[in-house]
Amino acid sequence: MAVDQTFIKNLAEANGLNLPEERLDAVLRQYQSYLRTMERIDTVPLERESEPAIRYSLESINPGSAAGPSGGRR
Amino acid sequence: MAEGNNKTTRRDFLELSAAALTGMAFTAKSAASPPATLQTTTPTSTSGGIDLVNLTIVEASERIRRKQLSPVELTQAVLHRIEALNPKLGAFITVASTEAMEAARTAEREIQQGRYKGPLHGIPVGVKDTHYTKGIRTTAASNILKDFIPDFDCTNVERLKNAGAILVGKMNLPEFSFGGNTPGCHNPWDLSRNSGGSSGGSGSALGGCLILGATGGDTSGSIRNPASTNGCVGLKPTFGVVSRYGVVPISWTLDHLGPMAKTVEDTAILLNALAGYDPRDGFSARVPAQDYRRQLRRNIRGRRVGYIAEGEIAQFHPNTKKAFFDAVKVYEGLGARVQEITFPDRMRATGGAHGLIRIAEAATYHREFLRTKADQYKTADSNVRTTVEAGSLLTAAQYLRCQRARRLFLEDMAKVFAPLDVLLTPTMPAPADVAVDVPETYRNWWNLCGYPAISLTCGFSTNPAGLPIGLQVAAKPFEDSTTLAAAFAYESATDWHTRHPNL
Repeated sequence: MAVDQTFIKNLAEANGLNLPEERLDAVLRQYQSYLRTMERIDTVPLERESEPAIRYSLESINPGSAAGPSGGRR
Repeated sequence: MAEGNNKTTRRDFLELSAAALTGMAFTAKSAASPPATLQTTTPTSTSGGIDLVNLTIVEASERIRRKQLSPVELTQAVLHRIEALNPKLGAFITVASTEAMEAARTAEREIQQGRYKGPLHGIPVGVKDTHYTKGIRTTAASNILKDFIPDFDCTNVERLKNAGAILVGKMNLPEFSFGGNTPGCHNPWDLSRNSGGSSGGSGSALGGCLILGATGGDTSGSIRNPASTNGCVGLKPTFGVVSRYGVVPISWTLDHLGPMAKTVEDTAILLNALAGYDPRDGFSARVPAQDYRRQLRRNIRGRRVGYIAEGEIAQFHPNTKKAFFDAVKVYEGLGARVQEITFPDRMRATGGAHGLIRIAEAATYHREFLRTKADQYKTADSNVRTTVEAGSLLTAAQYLRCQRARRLFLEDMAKVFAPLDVLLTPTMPAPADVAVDVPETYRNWWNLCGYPAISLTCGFSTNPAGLPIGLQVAAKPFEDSTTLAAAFAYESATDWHTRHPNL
């Protein structure tokens, strides 16, 4: 499927955004720049075990529990 | 009071208040003959021959602590200067003069009553207009938020107020902090040039001595860029050291908030007030509190100082490269163990993850604005709408691939930094508004990995003449004190920070 203005319009609608016709060209060019960046990133092989660099932390919600926060932060 | 002059100056007020509190007898004669240590001056920008607005936080706080300077005098001087120069600089979006004077009077009273809070007590500061301020509009320089008045202070404003700082206003920025220039905000060293961004208002005001301290936000260099561009100091702390709560974001996992000031020591004083765990910020770091100011004077001798190889910055402006490598020699002269550093090629690809992570997260924040207020985004000097509309089309799979690439970037940066204490790069590839085409600027990278990085002035350009050039000093995670100490060592060995523009 070609990445063109129709593609942008449809993809935006699928994401709940109604882009007017006059916006499509600018958004298309910007989106294409993002795809080029993604292509460069995708040249780097990712090991199967490599995980995303985002985490969340948990606090115990059990009153009187000795457990401290788990998980971690980046 | 001076004989024949029935005006009571702030200093007279301070002296009389102190006398009343200590129970000293007050007579008409003593009122007419103030002690030698105080001068009877009406509130002006100078006091005792000192231009108040040129004072650093260190200098002003010492005078305030000794009751030689009233917070009211200092705040009035600052507000006068803002009134005179903000039309030229465009550094402020909102000047909160009424609130500032009220806070200054409160500070004065507290100090007179012996309730001195510390070096920020009575010091006029500004905060970037992304920081929620209770009762004062917070616009993020956008029409979408032009009437938004928060009903609470962000954590950083709370902490500055608790330290006794005087909030004088909200600093200019590009719309929603998107951009490395601040439209309508000018460089105090050359008014025809921009102040950089996105914390451009903070940088311009500090460079032009309109305030003594400020905050900024940094997602892609937006504290360090204006610090370099305007000739002041700006620190992007380690991710999580300074709370993001109550600040209009760009990107949750890349946003850093931090202090900006005229000197490194002033910056450390601000960081002391700002840093610390905040349970309201989900990324806030639980690290022990530190006194960053106390750790400034650590010896740089023997410290392992890496500097980026010339080949990595070949396309940077020649003035920038000269100033940078001269700075490396200063560190060498101070006894640091300097070594040239190059980055592995893989980082140039994985470093690109910054841009897509940034825009995917920003697009999510802006989703409701795009659906309900899209036509209110600015159409001139702003690319926010287009970039977040396009960012909204990125998939979760693409975003997560970027976050996986970020993990590799973190691993590579840890290896680069393993033999180092600090790493030096130029902050900007060229002086203000000078266009150069470079493959990498090495500012985003410190947001992607979260390491602390500071910018301070390391010289001035010759062609074009007279524009500040910034040195960027980065350190390992949670080594913010090392970043500051290394910067302080350089600053103490040079005098770039003592220069002021001729406004």
